[in-house]
Amino acid sequence: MAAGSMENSHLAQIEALLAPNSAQESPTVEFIPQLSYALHQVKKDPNSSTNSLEAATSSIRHRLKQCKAHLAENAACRELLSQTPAEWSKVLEQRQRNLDAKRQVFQQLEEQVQRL
Amino acid sequence: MSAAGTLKSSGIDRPGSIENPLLRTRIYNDICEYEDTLGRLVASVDKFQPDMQIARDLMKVDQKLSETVKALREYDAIDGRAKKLEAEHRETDAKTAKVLEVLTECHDELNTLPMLEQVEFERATMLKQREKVFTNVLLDYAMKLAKFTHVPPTFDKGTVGPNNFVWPAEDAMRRGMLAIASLRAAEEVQSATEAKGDEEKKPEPAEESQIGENREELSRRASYEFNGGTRAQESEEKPDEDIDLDLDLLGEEF
Repeated sequence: MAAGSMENSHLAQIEALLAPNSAQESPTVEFIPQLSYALHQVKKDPNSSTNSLEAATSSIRHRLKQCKAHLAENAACRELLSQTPAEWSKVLEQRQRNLDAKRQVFQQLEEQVQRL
Repeated sequence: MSAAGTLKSSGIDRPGSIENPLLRTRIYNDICEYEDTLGRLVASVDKFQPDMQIARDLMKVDQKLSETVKALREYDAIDGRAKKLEAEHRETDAKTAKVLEVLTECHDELNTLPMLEQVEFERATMLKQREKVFTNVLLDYAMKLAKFTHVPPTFDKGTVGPNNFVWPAEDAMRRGMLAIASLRAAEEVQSATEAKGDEEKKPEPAEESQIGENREELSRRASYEFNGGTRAQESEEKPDEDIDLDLDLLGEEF
């Protein structure tokens, strides 16, 4: 599980569900090889009842549902992912400006107290 | 998957819902699209009618989802920065609250102290009151002091005379009082004589005899002049002048 690489546990869990065995630097979804193998099995023995594609892709659908449920449950995670990184950048810049303004007020107050 | 069940029942999973916050989440939409495309592919394959276009669509969706998953790292960094900023905001707010509390305490302490203007006004009032010396206090002190001191040798007694006082001299006041008393005495005498005259008018039959008596009295009074009785009367009437003189003398002595 790649949870150790990310600080946010919810994001780590989503990543673990969608890309469990990928590299930490560039995680990729690994459903296509699984689908390809399932299609190959169906093509090899199309009359077999055990080789249906629906049964072969059930684990993929199960993971996708888990991921959706996780997103639905965690409001903080949903809020975080609801905005694009560019939007978040603007929001964080505004928060940083507010923080700087508060610090400036403290600085002015300190100067006024020292003048007294 | 109970949460997913409640999600569906509460309408969050409905794609057309405006209130659904998940629809704004890119990864959620990608997963939904993946599910849908995969379902269509499975259906087509299971029906032995595989559609290559669906397979290509699934490839595209998979690529999109992979990119979204890669962006999770970026979101993680954003989350870390946001949390850090939030912690700094909390710290700053706590500091602000503490500073405001201290400032309020200082303000209350300053309010309990007296104002500079008030202190100056009270001081000025006290100094003004100290400047005033009441007459009775001054006289009491002078009376006490007079027992143990005497007139300074350099003091000119002639300057302390009635003429130098702002009020009239004692002898003048006494004269005035005596003059008033004499006026009152003349009024009393006049009223007494009028009363007597009224009484005298009433007995008419004896009028002639009284007139005779008056004439006798007048003759007698006239005779007193020769006897020196009038002098005695004059000397009796003069004591006022004598008193006046005495008083004048007393007044001069003062």
